[in-house]
Amino acid sequence: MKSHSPQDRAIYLYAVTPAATSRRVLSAAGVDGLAPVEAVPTDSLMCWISVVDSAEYGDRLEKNMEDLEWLAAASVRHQQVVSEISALGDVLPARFGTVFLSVDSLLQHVQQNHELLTTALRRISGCDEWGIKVFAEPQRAKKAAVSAASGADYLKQKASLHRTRTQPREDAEITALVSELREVSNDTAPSGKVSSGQPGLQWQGAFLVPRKNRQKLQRILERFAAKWSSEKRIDCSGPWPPYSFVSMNGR
Amino acid sequence: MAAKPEPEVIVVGEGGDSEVSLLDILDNVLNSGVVIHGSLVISLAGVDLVYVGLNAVLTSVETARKHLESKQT
Repeated sequence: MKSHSPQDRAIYLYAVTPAATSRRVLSAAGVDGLAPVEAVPTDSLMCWISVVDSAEYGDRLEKNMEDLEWLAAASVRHQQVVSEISALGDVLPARFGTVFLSVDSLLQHVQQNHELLTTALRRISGCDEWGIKVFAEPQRAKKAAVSAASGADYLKQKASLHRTRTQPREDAEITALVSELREVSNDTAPSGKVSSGQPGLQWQGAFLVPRKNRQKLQRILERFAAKWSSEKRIDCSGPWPPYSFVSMNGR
Repeated sequence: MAAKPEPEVIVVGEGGDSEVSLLDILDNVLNSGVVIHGSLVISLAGVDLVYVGLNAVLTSVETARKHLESKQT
């Protein structure tokens, strides 16, 4: 393994958990694919970190994040590490690219935010995040409509179908689904900045669902899927660490 | 080793693909999560990836996964 001299080293934070979390050695490597993930305890919390190169994750981080190949590999590794930590219990996942100059400065920042972090941990305790997306399915319903006299007509009609697909909109049906999902959730949050342009996407959001409500969540989704049949499709992803519910600015 | 709770996409009803896309991972790890400012100030404000640009990523995440899997075995 490549070793870093102190000035080349930076500390990459994955998650904060309660101090009682067992300090298991993770099988996933750090965000750089090399360094092992370590658990560093504070008085009442546990920080999960790995050592990274300070140039790669500091000065050059923004540049690197524009490199999709780099970003894909690093973000998948970040998620794998957080996923593994979340198997140990409640977890506050850190945003990608939270980097400190030293363990001391990390601990100092965590100590300063101690109250907010503990409050956030209490809020998400025993819950998973679930991402819900609703897609319009005009393809099946309107397939017969594309019967054009010429190739140009055909393309025009296809294009108009595509336009209708890419307009996100919430209708009464979706409102009904969302209100039922809220009943089995402790909280909801908007989501999907990156994926908001997915074709056919009508609505998406994140739900903070207590683990004991997982069956209820599934039954709601199944009922709506059956009702909507060929008009809409529901994608449900999870369980995620509660990424969307851990911001500390009073949300 | 305990099973890792990797998130899955569950398609409820018919159709669609059941892969957790890189889109979902990026949505979560880039745009949410606890923000504790590091000593190195890192601005994520400039990160506003659009779907169109991400087809390339969807391919590279496969590469990344394979790379990770081959490392783990």
